[in-house]
Amino acid sequence: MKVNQKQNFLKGLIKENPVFVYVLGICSILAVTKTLESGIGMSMAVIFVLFFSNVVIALIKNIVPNDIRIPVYIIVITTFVSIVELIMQAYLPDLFDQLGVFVALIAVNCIILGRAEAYASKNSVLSSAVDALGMGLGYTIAICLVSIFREVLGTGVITIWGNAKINLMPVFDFFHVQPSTFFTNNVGAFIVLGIVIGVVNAIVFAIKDKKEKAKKEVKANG
Amino acid sequence: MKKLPYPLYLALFLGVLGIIAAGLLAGINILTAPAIKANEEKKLAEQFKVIEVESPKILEVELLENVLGAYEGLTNGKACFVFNVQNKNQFLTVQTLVVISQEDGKILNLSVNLPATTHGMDSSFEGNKFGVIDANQDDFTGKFVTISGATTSSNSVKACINLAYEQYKGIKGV
Repeated sequence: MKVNQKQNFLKGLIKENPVFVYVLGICSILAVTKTLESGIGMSMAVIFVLFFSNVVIALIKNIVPNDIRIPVYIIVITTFVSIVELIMQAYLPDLFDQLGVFVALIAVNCIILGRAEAYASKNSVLSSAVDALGMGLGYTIAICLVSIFREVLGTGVITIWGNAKINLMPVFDFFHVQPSTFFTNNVGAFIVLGIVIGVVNAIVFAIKDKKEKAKKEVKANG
Repeated sequence: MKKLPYPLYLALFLGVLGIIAAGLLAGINILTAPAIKANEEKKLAEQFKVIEVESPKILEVELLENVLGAYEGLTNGKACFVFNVQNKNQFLTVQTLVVISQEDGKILNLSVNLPATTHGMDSSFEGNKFGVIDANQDDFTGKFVTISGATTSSNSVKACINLAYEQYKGIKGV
């Protein structure tokens, strides 16, 4: 079956976004979205693991006995998680300290096992790699959106990387309001994630409806 | 050639995959180990700055399990021991430098190195430093149960203090 790689890549961004549509991998999103920096770091780690595990699983899919496919996927995934953990610990120690145990917990991120089972085990290496990049980018969009909202509303600052920060306190001062630490707490994470998922889905459905209506109008007009 | 029994084939498949994964991880470990060690040494040096101990010297003593190092030095002109201890659970490792007075076994200072995701300890651990603290022992068990001056009830930190105190007692022969 020939796969349109552009569509394969783009589907992960909105149409089949792992977070907004399937609500997968939200544990890490809730945990590491206090700052945009940790969100970006987490998404880089997830993309690395997702890409390489998808590629390897697609490569070995024909020789893996069906009865032990899940343990095999888990060995592959945990190997790449350990690799990313070691690399991060060695070369990005501050980020590693920020993310803590959640780097190791990428191994149980449903997106990765889900894509291995649902996609990489049935498709070619190229398609699996493209799918991983699309899904990884979709996860990145979600984690960054939640991080930005939480960090801005909670601290009035956006930490992009290290000392690169955007100070939005003048905006808060203009409206005579203060950031609330509620948003950097766990409860705030749930609420922000819920609102972001709701808003994104509302926009997607509105666009879909508009397109369908336009199609119907074209049909009705002959 | 005789075909392998199916269960044996499955076990062999997983075994071979495990060996390949282990080999790959060993290779990455060799490559990253020097950088990880350098980072840990840098972190420890920063922690020593925080606890304000002058010219710490390594003590050659038998270390208890989870005591990573023992040192002696001076803090505010007082002779002290510094113990580098860690407390591990399934989620995180909390590593602490505990400064104990050589004279009376009083806890003089702490520097805690902990992951940012540790619950309940973010705001109270500014700079991962307690400053001069007052750690109170339970009269009956002799274990440290409260740490005044710090609004944390972290069991991990308390476990670190108690472990350091055990090491102190070992050295002093108390």
